Amino acid sequence: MNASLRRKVIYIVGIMLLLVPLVQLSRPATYDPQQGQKPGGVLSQLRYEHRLSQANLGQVDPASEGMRLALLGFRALAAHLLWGKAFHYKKVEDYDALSATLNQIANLQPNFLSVWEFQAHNLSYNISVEFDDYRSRYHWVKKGVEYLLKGIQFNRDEPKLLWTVGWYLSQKIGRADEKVAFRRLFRDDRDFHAEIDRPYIEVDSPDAKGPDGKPDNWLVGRLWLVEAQRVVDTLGAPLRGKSPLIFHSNAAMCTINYATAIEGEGYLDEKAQYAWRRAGEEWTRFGDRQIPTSWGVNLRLNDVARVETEVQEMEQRLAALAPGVQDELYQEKLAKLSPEERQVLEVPEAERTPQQYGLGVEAEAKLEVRYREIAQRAPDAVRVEARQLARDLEEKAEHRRRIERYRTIVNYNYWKTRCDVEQTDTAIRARRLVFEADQLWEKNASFEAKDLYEEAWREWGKIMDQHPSLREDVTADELVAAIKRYRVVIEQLGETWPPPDFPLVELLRVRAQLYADTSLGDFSKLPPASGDGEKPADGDKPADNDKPADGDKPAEGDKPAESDKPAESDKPTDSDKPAGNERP
Amino acid sequence: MVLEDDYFLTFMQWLLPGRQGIGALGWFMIWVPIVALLGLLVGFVRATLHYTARDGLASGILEGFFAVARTIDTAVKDLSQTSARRTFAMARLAVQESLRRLVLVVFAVFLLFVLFAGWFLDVNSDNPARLYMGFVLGMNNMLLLLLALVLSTFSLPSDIRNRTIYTVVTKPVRPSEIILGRVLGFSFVGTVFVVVMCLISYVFVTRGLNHEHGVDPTTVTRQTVDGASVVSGQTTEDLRHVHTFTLRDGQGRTDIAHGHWHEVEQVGEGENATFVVGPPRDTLQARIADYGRLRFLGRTGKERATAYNVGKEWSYRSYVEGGTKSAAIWRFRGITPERYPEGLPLELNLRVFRTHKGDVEKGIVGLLKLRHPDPAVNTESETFTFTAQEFQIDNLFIDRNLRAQKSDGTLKPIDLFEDLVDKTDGSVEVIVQCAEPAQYFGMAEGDVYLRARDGSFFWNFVKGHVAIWLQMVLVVSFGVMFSTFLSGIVAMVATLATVVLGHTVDFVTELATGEVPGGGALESSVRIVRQMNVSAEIDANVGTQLLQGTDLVGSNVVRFMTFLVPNYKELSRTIAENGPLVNGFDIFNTLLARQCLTTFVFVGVVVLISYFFLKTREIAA
Repeated sequence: MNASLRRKVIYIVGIMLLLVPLVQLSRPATYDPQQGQKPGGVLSQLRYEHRLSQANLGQVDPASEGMRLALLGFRALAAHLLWGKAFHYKKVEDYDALSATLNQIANLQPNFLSVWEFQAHNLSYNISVEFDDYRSRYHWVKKGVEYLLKGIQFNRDEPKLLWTVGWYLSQKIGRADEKVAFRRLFRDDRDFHAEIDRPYIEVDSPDAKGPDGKPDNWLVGRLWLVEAQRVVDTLGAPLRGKSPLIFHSNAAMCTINYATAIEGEGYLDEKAQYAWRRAGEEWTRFGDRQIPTSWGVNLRLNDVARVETEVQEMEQRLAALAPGVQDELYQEKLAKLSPEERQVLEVPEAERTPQQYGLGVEAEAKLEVRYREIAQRAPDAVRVEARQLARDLEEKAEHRRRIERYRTIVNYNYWKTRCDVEQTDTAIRARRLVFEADQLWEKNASFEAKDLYEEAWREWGKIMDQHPSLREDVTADELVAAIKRYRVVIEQLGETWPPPDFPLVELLRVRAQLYADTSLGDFSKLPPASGDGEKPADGDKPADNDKPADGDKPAEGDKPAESDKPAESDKPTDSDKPAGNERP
Repeated sequence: MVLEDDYFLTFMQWLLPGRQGIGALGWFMIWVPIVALLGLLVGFVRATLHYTARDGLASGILEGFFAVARTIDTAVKDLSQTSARRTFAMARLAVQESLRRLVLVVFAVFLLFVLFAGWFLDVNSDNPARLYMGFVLGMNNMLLLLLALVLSTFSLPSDIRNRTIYTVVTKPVRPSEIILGRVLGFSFVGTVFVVVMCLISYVFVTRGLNHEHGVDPTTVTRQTVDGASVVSGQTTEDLRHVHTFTLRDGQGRTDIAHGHWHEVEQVGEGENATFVVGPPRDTLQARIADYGRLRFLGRTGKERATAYNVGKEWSYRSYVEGGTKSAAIWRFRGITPERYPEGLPLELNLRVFRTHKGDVEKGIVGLLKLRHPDPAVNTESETFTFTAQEFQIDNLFIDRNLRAQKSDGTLKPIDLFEDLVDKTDGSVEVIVQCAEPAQYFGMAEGDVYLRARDGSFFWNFVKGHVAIWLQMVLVVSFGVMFSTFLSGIVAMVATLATVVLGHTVDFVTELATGEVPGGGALESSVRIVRQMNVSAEIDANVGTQLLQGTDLVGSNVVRFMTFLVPNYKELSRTIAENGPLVNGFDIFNTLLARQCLTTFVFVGVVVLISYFFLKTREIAA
């Protein structure tokens, strides 16, 4: 064998040998209808594991791959230039070109999630509002969703994208100023239904259909949110910065919003009752779900009562181990307070001046008797046991506080109460009366409207007496709007406002006190009605749990309706964050 | 479509001093002496330095002066005695050389792009015509400029390096003929490419957008309205869209979807009737539009240059306030019964801005009327109402038989041409207002026009490729010029720099005037390293001031250079995404003429400069 031939043979053998590891490394995954998914080479498996790329050859988008290949190593530069172009197109209102550019960007960087999220938001929220025709607006909302659907093709099982689709379908369509038109368009948009239909998200299933038998945006959105939850639960996909509490609450909130929406559209019958019942069940399921927290422990919102009972039992046991110690410690601490502090504590909390308030808080903190202090003074024989119990108690009490804090963030008690109340015959009847009265009011039938309104207020009075927490939230907002119409009616009829036997005076008093809402008159100075539902019939503790996050006046983000609604042209990130501070 | 002010200039308005400052001719008269003087100065300094090294400073200056004078003298002779025969022979050589350089590779790349274009085009686009056009025009432009760049810059340097230039210069060929021959030869190759690409692209666009719909029988509903049979339904899906249609007595059309519509005809009667859907209409158009001059009235009825700004970053459109005297008034000229025998085919492309949502399901109502331009005549038509359609062209035909309101409030019949058109210049005013208080209409001069007729789309497409051709010729000229004194690769980079500079004139101007946030090159680099965004305040210290000062000088030097290179962006405006061709409007012939003149002047000057460069280069040495 001459040298030249030998060299060639060595080269060929070398190439063939190198092909072996190459195949091992880069063999693509394939899909066989008979045998299912074949994992492919090492790189393919790594891509699959890290959800970096399309699962198999059949899912590879030639445009995306082609563009990336053609640009050699310059795709980041190209994406940067296209990003600038996209902003320019948005500025000069060339939305067709913008849409095409966004597709190019996504083709270049298909696994960069922020691009999909940011630009989908741009399409659905910022660009849609630039159009005057509501049909065009709806069309661009859809374009944002379609953009996300394309993103999901490239990023399988990515909960954030699945969640965002659910959010847009539910919140953007269901909460926009054009929600009446959007919901109507959505119900009849069969082509769009086909686009958003998936194996686990069957748009044609009873779970997705509204009272008219057509897909409802809240319920379809819920299915997408549930799918996002499924991916997190079964595949352990990361939430990427999204709060688990808010993430898992959204699907349940969709059923609540659905029930509210259909009532607003006039379905005030057993369909609404069923919707509320379903919402209540969903909300309870959400309460039973284990939620990871930023403290590194999991909790269940529905555990609050059980944990409370356990805390009480343990406190009793501690008191038995160290009898009389708690009172003794309290008296000692009280004796150590300055005369000013003691004086402040004698002033009722509501009457304290701002300076006194601060002093009072400090004094109360000084008076707090800690479990370990009690254990420390336990008799020698049981001190070790008491110390252990005190440690457990502190841990348990902390767990209870955390659950309560989380419940406050999602307004758990309010929505639970609301779901329970709304499915009652009284509530349905009360709402129907207001709805019918409003319709008569619009037709200027004042006499008839007045009668229906007054009947409605009586029903609402009963509900509010039973569930005083409802006076403080969105239910009250809706009622106050109707009461304003009622006021116009009675003034048109020459009667004085408020009528002497008005059953919702207490509601107006609470509104005036909490929100300084005196649009219907200043009721803030009115003393609370005695026995007027101060002790709720359903066992809720409105003083603790029904009260919104910050005590006297709820923060804007704590109002359920507001926290679910992103600003028209802002990213929804702020409203996704829990209102409170997660870290202790 | 975005039409800047200067789009409406006639050729003479653009050329001569007047409406546009000193006009193109004025700029030419300023810049040619500057460039000539600059050239003479550089030549003189170079010659002086050369002779000073040999004979001392005094002799050097004198020799330098004579060398420049000699060169000018020779140049006059060379240029006046340039032979067309020899020039064409050189051009033929350039063509042969191009073919040897595998220019067909560019053609293969073009075919590859066209074949796989479908992958890159957004199938869900609302306006596929724009997308297709934007794609082919952008691709053709890029490929042709690339071709011109490679062909023109490597030829002379490689001839010089391989010494094949000796075989040429030892023949009785003048430098002017070498330069001209190369420019003509490479331009010829480019021209053949432009023609072929234009034809293939035309077929690609027309075939790509052509499609056929059927009718989905499950959607067809029939009813009788006022004694006429009315059939409604939906077409089948094709190219990812469906249309709805309504037929009266068997004839009708679909709605507009994806920027086009179809005629639909019913064949047969009753339940057995079938439907024939025609080819797509208005997909590829070349609307020939008559534009008017626009002025505005403020809310008190007082005239003003622009109406109101509603807070948009882009100030192209000005907004008139609804429910007030605020109005946009267009004055159209040359309106004659011969051109518009039936009336005025107005088309509107307005924007709406709502300060409150109002009824979200109802559009904003506008008012439109025609008025005699002479206030003394004081005649205006009755007011028409319309609902504004955004982001699509709204057709409004104004019949010549109109009515006007008399002083007692009754209406009297009037004739458009007799009563409203000023006979002296055939002008008439169209007044547009927004009817609803606290709502606004946004308008620019090109947003309301008369659709005079439809031109040929093919010829419009060809006109678009003329713009590409002009750019190609310019790149060839600059490439040849740089290759006379630079090596191939450096000449290519230099030519590319002129193209980039010519495409980024606006940016460079904004950079030099400090309008670009984040500062110039050095300041931006510091920001990148320090991870500061463009709006963050940078520390005010000596170092920063030094950087900013250097940036200011640098960017102004670059800005000065933009005056010396062709404005490629200006040359591409007819084929830009927001330009007339892509948006279905006929390209103004005057605009094309302006671009041709600009290009040929540039080519002439560049060829002259190239001659001097080649002449002064000591090839034989």
